[in-house]
Formats: sequence, C-alpha cells, structure tokens
Amino acid sequence: MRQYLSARMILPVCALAASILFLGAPSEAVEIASLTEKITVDSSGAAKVEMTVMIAKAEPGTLLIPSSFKTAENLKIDGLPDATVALVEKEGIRAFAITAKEPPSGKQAIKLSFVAPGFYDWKGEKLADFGNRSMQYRFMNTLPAKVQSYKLDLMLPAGFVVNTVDDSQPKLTSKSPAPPYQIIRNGDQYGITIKASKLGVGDYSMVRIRFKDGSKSMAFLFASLALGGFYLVGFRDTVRPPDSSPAKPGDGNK
Amino acid sequence: MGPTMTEERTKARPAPAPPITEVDGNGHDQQSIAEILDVSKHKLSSVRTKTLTPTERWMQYLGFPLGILVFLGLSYMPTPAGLTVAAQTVLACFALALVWWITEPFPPYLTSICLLVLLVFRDVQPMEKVLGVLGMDVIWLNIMAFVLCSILLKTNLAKRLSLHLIVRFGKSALPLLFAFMVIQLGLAPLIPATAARTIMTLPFMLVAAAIYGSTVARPNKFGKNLFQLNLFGISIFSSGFMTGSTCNIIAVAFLLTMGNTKVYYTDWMFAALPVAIIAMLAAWLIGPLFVFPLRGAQTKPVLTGGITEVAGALKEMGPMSWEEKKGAIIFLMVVFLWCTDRWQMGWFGFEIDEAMAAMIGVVLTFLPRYGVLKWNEADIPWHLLIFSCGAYAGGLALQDTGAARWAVGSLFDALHIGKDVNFWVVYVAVVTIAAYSHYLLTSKTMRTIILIPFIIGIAQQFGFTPLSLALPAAFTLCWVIGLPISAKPNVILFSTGQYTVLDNLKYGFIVTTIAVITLIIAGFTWFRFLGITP
Repeated sequence: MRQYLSARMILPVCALAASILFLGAPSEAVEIASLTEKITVDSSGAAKVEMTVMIAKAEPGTLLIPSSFKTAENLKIDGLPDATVALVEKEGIRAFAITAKEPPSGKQAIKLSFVAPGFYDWKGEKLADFGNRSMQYRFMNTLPAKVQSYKLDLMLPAGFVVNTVDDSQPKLTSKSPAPPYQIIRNGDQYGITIKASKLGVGDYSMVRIRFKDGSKSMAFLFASLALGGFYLVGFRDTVRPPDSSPAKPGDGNK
Repeated sequence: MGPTMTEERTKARPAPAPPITEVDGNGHDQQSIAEILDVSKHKLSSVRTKTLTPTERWMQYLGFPLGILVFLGLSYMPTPAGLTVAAQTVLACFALALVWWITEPFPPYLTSICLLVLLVFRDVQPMEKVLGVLGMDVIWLNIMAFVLCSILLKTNLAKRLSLHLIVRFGKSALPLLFAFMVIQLGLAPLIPATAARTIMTLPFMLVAAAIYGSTVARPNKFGKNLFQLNLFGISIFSSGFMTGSTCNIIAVAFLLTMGNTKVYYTDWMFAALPVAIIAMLAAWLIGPLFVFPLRGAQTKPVLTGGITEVAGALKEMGPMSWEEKKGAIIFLMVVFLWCTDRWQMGWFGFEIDEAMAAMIGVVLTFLPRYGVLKWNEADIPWHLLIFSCGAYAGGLALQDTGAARWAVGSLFDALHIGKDVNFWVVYVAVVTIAAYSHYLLTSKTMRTIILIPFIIGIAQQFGFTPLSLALPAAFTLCWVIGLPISAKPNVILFSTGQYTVLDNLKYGFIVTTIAVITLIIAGFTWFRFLGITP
C-alpha cells in the first residue's frame, strides 16, 4: 500500500487535479512537440530565460505552456503574429498564457524571453566543503498537454564551473549507455544540458549540480612545482650507482 | 639527502632471498629442490628491497617530478566541454598515479595511498566512498584467494600437482608455459569466473616459477612470462566462449535487443576462439623470445639435479597425506560453488557470489582442530592489497565522474566518421578503440554497456549490419591485460610481486596490439567467410 502513496504517484495526481481546476477537463487537443528552456544565471542571482516552444497540436483560444517560474519580468513573445503572453497562476499551477488570433502551427517556433529575479539565492545557499554550492532546477509538466521532447540548458555565471552532477531526472544508472545530461561550455560560461521526453501531466525533469569558482589556486601550483624541485635536489643521489655513494660516519654501525 | 639514501634506492619486493647453494658452469644459481619449494622462504607478505639498474634509477628520479607535471598540466588546463571539474581532476590524479606506478619513485602501495588522499582532498569523491573500496568484493576475494592459495602451499598439494606438471612438461620453459596455456584454455568454458580460474591455478604458477628460479624475492624473466601469460590466457580465452564472461552475455543481449540479431554459442565460438588461440600462440612465442627473452640456463629448472630430481622429489612425497586431502576437499568445494553458480538459484534459492564461496572455504580452513591453517600461516600481501585499493578507487572515480566515458567518447569523436566512410575504416577504428579502452574503463560490464550500444548505433547510422561491428568489438571486451588493475585476475596475479607495472604495461600492450591485428585480419578473412563482415 505504501508504494501507492509515494511522491511519484501523488505528484501527478495533484498536478492533474489542479490542472482540472485550472482548465476544466483535460484536453487532448493540445500537444507540445518540443519545449526548450535556456536559463542563464547571473551573479546577482537573477536568471535570463529563453523558452522555445514548438506546438504539435493546438486549438483556438488561449494556449497554456507550463511554467516553473513564479515571476517573469520583461516577458516578451516572438514568432507568433499579434500574440500576447502573460504568466498566470491558479491553485498553485503556473503557466504562460498565450493569446493569438490564429492558433500556432507545427512549423512555428514560439519564443518567450523574460528575466526571473531571485532564481538563485547566493546568500541563502550554504557554502559547502571546497567552496561548493548546490543548484537545482526542476521543470514539471503541470498541464494536460503532453510535452514530447524537453531540453534544458542551465548556464552558470561566468567564472563558475560544474564540479559534479548529484542527481538528475531522467536518472543516470549503471545500465545507461549514455548519460541524460552533458556539461556544456559557451565561451567562459559553463553549464549543463539535460533532455527528457514524453512528459505527461505530473512528469518532471530535473538536475541538481554542485558548482564552484573556476579559478585555480596559484599557491597549490607553485607548492607542487616546488615539491618536484625539492625532490630533484634532495634525491639527486638516486641516480648514482649504489657503490659510489659516499660513506657517512656511523654507516658501519647500522 | 642522507646516509640512508642507498637503502631507499630500491623497489618494493616481497620476502628475503633464499640462500644460494651452488653456481653452475654458466654462472646461474643452482638450488636444491627442498630449498626451492620451502614456501616459508618465499612469503608474499613481506617487503624486501632490490638493487635497481641505472635505467630504473633514472626513471625513479625523474618519475616524481614528471608525475607532478602531468598532474598539474591536466588540472590547470581549461575544463573541456563534456567534463565536470571532478572528472578533470580524477583524470589528473589517475595520470599522476600511473606515472608513479610505472616509474616507482615510491613503492606502489604508497602511490596508491597518495591517490586515495588526492581523491578526497582534490574534491573528487567523499572520503566514505574512497575508503569504502577496501570493503569491495574484489578486495575480499583477493584476501580469500591468498588464504586458499596458502592451503595448497602449506599442505604440499600444490607442490605435488606442480611436480607432476613439471615432470610431464617442464623439461624446458616453453613447453611448460604452453602447458599452462592449455590448462587456461580448458578451464575457460567450464568456469566463467576469471578470478576463480586465477585462484585455482595460482599455487601451481608459484611452485613452477620457484622451480625455474623465480621467487617473490628474486623474480626473473621466467616468472614475468609465466604469470603474465597465465593472465593473458585467463582473459583472452574468456573471449573465445560466449559463457566465458558475463560481459559476453550482456553484449549478446544488446545485439538481440538493439540489433535484432541472435548470436548462438557456436556462432560466437567459431568466430572468436580461433582469434583468441592465434593471439595467445603469438603471446606465448613473443614473450619468452623477445619481450622477456629466456636464454640458456634460464630455460631450464634451477635445480642441482635437473628434472630427475623433480621426479625423485615427487616419488619421495609418497601417497597423499590427510592434510592434503582436507585441503583438496576444501578447495574442490569452493571450485564446485564457483562452477555451479548458474544453477544455485534453483538449488538454494540464492546465488553464491565468488567472494562468498571463497569465504565459506576460508571458514573451513581456519576451523580449530578440523581446519588446515592457523592465521599466521596464511600469507596475505597486505601492501599489494593496499595498492589494489588505491588503483580501484581511482578506476571507480574515473567511472563515477564520467571521465572514462568522456575519454572513450572523445576518441570516437576524434575519428570524424562521415556518411560516405568505408566499412573497413570504421571496423578498424571500432575494434581498436574497443580493445584499448580497457586502459580507461576498469569494469568489463561498464565497458560493454558503454561501447556495444554505441557501436550498434554507429552501424545502424551508416547502414552496416550491427553484427559486423558490434560482434568483433564484443570479442575484445575480455582482453583486459594492460594494467595490474584492469580486472580481478590482474590484481591477484600482480599481488605475487613477480612482475612490475611497467612489465605488465609493456607485455600487455604488445599482446593487445597482436590481438587487435589478428582481429582485423580475421575481419577481412575468417569473419567474411562466416558471414559476419561484408
């Protein structure tokens, strides 16, 4: 019985219930072919977000795209003529509501861009050993429209690097031929990309990373080089044949 | 540096040298059989020193700063795309350890401890995970293996069986080495666990090596050839049979599920076994003739009375003692558990792991009154087990951080395989990368999971049959012979102290290359005849 009460079961049920409240009965008429989020975090903690959505099926009226963001400043839409967009929330479910004269076709890429202030709390996140910080992002499909393919690019502020990937959804298992995520680099910015597919209502994709300042310690570099140098000086008699080692006083007593 | 530097200018070697009784006309040490087979003089567990050659002294001197330079170079370069910082750091740490294991500015166990420290303090993995390697099944199996080996040595069972082998085949080195190869070929289809095969034959290797003058105190070229040829035989002959290793079966499952191609036991054997036999025959000839050449008296037993004394010693042993019988019963029981693992689920409702089977044998071994050994009589080389722990921790970190996967993927990316590429170019690239990837990935299963689906994907992408690329690549999965940490048999045999990391790297690389060339030639000829390649 306990397994039926697990979070895995509860989350989709809650999401479905909330979305019914939000939208009425689930509709099969809307399907998202692909949803790509590019999140670039800056040093203040705000994130610049670029979202690209390809619609497989749509119907006239307001189109809803699931959102993981509480606020979206400077929200803009591109790719759909005469369209307007707003971040709406009802019963804890957030979505971008897009209104256009014509429903989007499959060939149109709808591009949303906005700034999410306070995306990362630099002061609130505790600094761990070796200067590591933790960052997590989760996208959950809270709406009935199925997301066939999802991709996230999460970019760190310049100067920071991904130390380890602690968790992800889809998960990396010992049977995975390839990891679901990849570390990416764009100039001096590092980040992570993760892909997921067929996200129904309540399904989610997430990634949790540890990252840190990418600068390398010069003190460690010089200390290591000095250690090598000391060895070359101190152990120089290593290359001398054993019989040519100078006899030291007291050797004979050993 | 100090008055003790001459003593420090040494490599770790187990056990004190046995006294030399005579020198023959060629200047070679001649010993009585009683001295040679006195196992108390050849303990694996004690570390002794060895005078180095000038080349080894220079390697030792320059190895330390060279390791540091390699480490710093890899650590301080910009992190490549696809790699986490932890993965980059583990590559640097492992490269440093590899340079130090080969050049030996420190004994191998100390380098391993340095690696463990670096993995924790360079923020690669948490301490619990790094230190937890000491509890892994491979380390326990290693400890149990040496206890089981001690049973056969202490009860003289190993001596009796080895003397039989020497009297029959041991008049000179090459036939004896060949006999060991035949034994490994015979065991490969019967016992899928390579570690079990290693433990079974290890006592005989130790006795045969001693008769040819290669002891833990004074390892010689015969020992280097014998132990490494057995290692190659255990690994390469496993590739000759579908049931030779679990990784072969996983590869066949991938071919069925992803490539829609069923591979039968005989399909595998007809294709792979000739390649394995040719590679091993080449290894058998190249080792004693070129890599570690055996000349003159080195090809004969180091005995005052020659082979007739061996025959006399065998006769003197008389019938089997009760202690020998008890040792044989315990050992055969463990072998029985190893051999029957696939049926145990039906018999007992659970499967007994090879380490647990050995542990059951060890329980019986130490039983008061009825057992055959006391704790002090078990010869366990802890310094080499510590070496194994460090090496395994490094290997696991390469795997866990994704560094090994990234390195293998980068190799394939570097090939820039285009759409109009010739099949044979892809074939050569795939089997070469598959064979040499064992230097990076220490788990055969992980290598199978990473490589085979990837290769099936390449085949499908370019319109080749999955069988034509993935099956030959699968034949290389068991060829894990290049480093002392590449697999369990490598760890166990290296622990005898009969060869160095550099010896293994040299001979292993040559044999891997021969095996790859054989596989490429087979692709053009034998596999074509069998319908595997176009």
